[in-house]
Amino acid sequence: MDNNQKSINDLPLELFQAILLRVQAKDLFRLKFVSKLWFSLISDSNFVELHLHHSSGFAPSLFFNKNNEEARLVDLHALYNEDEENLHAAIKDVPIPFGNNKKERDSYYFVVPGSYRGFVFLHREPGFIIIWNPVTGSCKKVSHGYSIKKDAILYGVAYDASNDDYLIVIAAKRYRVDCFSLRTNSWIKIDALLQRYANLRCERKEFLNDGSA
Amino acid sequence: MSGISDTERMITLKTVEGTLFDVKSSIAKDIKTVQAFIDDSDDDVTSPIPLPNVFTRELSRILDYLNNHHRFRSDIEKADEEMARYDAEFAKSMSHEELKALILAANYLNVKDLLEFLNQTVADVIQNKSVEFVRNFFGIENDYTPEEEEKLRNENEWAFNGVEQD
Repeated sequence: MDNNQKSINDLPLELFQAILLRVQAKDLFRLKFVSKLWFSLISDSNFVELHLHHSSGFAPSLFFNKNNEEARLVDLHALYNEDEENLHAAIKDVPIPFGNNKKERDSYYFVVPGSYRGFVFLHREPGFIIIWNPVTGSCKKVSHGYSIKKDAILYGVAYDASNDDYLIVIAAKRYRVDCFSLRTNSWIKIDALLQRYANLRCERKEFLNDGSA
Repeated sequence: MSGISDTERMITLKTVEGTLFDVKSSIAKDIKTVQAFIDDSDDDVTSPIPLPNVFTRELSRILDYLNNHHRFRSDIEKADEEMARYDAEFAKSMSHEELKALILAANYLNVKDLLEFLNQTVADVIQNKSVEFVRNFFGIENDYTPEEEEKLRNENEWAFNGVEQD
């Protein structure tokens, strides 16, 4: 019992984390700018996951792509619960986390393979997917060798509850199915799976998605 | 049902200032740091347990909270409603300084329920507040250079909309 804590600044990091876990996602992003330590605390992928489990129910929001640069988020919960004069608070325009180079951004084609539990998956040609939480601003980039426009037959995102893992699934021509596991941060090749369904040539561009964002 | 009897053992706690508090052993169980001390002493605690980090004001508040929560729990029917009312009043009765001091004490004493409640209280306080308010609140030094901060703000202007005036 000789621990000599005097100021709240000496609080163990876990306690700051415990407090931040109780802050609504929409406020978390701004709090990143308190200090560099808070920035890394809030950006940490474990923290993001914990926060997701901690928040009591989602604040479901609609997601619109405005001009490939900004997305408009509409907080459905606020939309139904706020007074009329506060309705503007339900709508927020956020930058889509592609590079800062405007020219580059315009020249790229991107699609939204799906969304899941607050994360939006953006696929940008050629060859990478961004997993983005538009409410907290956290995002992660995953590279791959496909052009969805040219190669992919099917693609989507899925949540594997048994491993608490998010999977990005891409089925390409020549019956290859690749699956990216966010938990292990690696690709898994599933060669045999698609043979049987190869003649389906499914036109549907989204599957496995029952997401909430 | 609760197992509390008239002859329940009392434990004495001693704060930084030397104030003594007699605490029922059923209450002491919720103060994990104290309970660990008792367990380490093979239940043979005769002299006051010194709490070198805990001040009288905070210990008094913590015991008040625990005693009331124990009392609420003995009457299941009204428990939730009364507890919620008490908690709201409890949170309101403190200044920000007192709230922070209580978090430190609750953290040191490892009073889980109270700590969770206080964490939520702080989270509610900093909700919708400016970055500067939060820095002041926690006494955190801004380690961004003015240029870095300016850049971050320009890139993320949307995050600062809808913030309350301090």
